[in-house]
Amino acid sequence: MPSPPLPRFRRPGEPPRPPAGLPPTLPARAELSLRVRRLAAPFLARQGWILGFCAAGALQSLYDLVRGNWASLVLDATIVAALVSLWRAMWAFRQTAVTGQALPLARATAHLVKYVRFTVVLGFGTLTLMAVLTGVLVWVLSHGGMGPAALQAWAHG
Amino acid sequence: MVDDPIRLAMAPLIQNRGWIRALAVLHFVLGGFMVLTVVGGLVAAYFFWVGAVLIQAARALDRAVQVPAAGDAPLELAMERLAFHFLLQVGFLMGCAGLALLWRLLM
Repeated sequence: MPSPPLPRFRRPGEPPRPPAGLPPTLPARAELSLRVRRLAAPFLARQGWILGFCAAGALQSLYDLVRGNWASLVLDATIVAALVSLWRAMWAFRQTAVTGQALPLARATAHLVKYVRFTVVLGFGTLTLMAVLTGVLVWVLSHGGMGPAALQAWAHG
Repeated sequence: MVDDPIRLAMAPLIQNRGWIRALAVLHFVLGGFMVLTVVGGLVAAYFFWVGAVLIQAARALDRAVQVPAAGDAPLELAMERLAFHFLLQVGFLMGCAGLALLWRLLM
């Protein structure tokens, strides 16, 4: 006669198993919800700071627009696009905390990636532009026959 | 492990960890420029700090890919580092605004 299987005790930290014959839906869903909320927690803990950061960037861009600083319009547009992505990511993180599902978390990470991409393009784009402008200025000063005084007079009309 | 909903949700971040590394490089470059200026040492330290935090996030995402048995711990570390990077940025902005205000009041 075969002996009955030995009872298996839970290890510390191991989630409880459902009774035999029942589908593991509820514990699995609860565990997933816990994992999802744990991943969103660092952003939710700092959401006030991050939303303040978004608001400050948007206000700066608005200030440029009101002052008629058209030279920085492209820069401001990119900043606003990045901050909108960040804002939407934070919104999705809040949804993650409310629902405990993985779908809002996926949306949040996608928006976060968009923010990172915008920032990288913005940063390296600005650096490249500055390098080009500096190069042009140096070339004009050295080859164009314009000294600093002449250049200053030209700039002032 | 591939069908894990957490891995699927974090896939955009994991697949684009190169961009996070690029953002870190950008901060190192900016920090390098700041070092060249006379009073830029403190600002350079901030840029290097943010770069290091972003590198830590990218490394944690690398670890999440290379060591699946590590579970969610590397992903949690990456999220924590990314959120901390935003906190540093806010601190930097507030510091700049405070210095500008002080300058306006003193001058």
